[in-house]
Amino acid sequence: MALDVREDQKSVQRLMQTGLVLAVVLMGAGVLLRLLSVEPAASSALELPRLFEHATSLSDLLLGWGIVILALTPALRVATLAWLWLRAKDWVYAAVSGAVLLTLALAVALG
Amino acid sequence: MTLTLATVLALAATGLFAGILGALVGVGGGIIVVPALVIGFGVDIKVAVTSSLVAVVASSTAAGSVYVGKGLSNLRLAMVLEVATTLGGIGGGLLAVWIAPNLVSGLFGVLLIVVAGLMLRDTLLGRSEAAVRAIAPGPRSITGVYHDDFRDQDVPYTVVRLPLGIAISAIAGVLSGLLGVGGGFIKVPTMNMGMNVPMKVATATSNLMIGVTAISSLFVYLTRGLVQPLIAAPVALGVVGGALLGTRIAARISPTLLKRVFAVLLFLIAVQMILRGLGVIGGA
Repeated sequence: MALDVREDQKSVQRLMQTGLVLAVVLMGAGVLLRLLSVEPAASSALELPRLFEHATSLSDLLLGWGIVILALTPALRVATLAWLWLRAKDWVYAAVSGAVLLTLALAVALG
Repeated sequence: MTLTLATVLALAATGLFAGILGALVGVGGGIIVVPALVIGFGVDIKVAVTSSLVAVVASSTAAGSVYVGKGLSNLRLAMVLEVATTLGGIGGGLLAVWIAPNLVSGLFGVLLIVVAGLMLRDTLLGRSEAAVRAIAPGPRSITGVYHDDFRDQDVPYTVVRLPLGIAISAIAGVLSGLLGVGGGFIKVPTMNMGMNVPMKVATATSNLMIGVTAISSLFVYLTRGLVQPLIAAPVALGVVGGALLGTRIAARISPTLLKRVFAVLLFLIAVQMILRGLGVIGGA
């Protein structure tokens, strides 16, 4: 069964918009909080493992999660398409999307 | 860097400009963000590169969400080329140990000048969409149709020479891993001039792909703690605004003008790559 092209476009668009809005709200709130707050002004680098253990401040947490959600959105877009194409039994493109996800995982593992 | 309102606004303005350009021509905007952060804000080159990667993802997601909704991005084509690009990216990262990046940069810069010249020639000869021919699709052909707001007409197309696109995308990926560039500037002319893809679809599809290319490196930098959120976030916020603005401009611009803008940008990137090859400017 071939997937309706409009269906995959709409699903991907919704996902990307959701990821973008979430990321923008979190990053915007983080920047605003940092501008308004009395928290230490010195900037600190975002280290992914540390973000999940402990954040030094609320603004750090918001900024960190905003960037992480933004970075996850393209990967989720690929995963969504893989699922949609798999559901539509479009094996070729489902396999191609799976290969992209695997390659991304490999890149992170080798990095 | 201490975060003041003036700094945030200046960083966001940089992102805004990069976002407009990125959405228009399908490149990441690193050519603007990296030098602006290093020269204009005195940011360390590594922090500038990681902030640029965040900006690329922001640009790709913002513009991509609009282009996908309008049917401008070809999802199937993007996915096929993404495999080659991400694999090439890993190869480039591994090859970086054996090959002098400066040599590759210089040689590729020369090639890009030739491509920019060919694109400009096309527009001057009135062949901006000459590559897009009416071709009967095969059973496994990637096809598409988009509505060109500028000409107010539906433009159908059939993708040809997919193996060529896969090969060039792999090379774009290798360059991405080797030189820290996005690769959109290679994929757009390849799709448009070599694969029968309309210019607007080529830029929109490239826009979608660069986000995936960027995150393969971005996650590594995030894990290593090389992302500076106080710099990356304001730039990314500006990029989102710029990219959304850029999609509105792109809808109203003629394919010929878009191609000319791209050719000029390509020329600037080529000069930057040649200068990097000659060691005049530092690499990422």
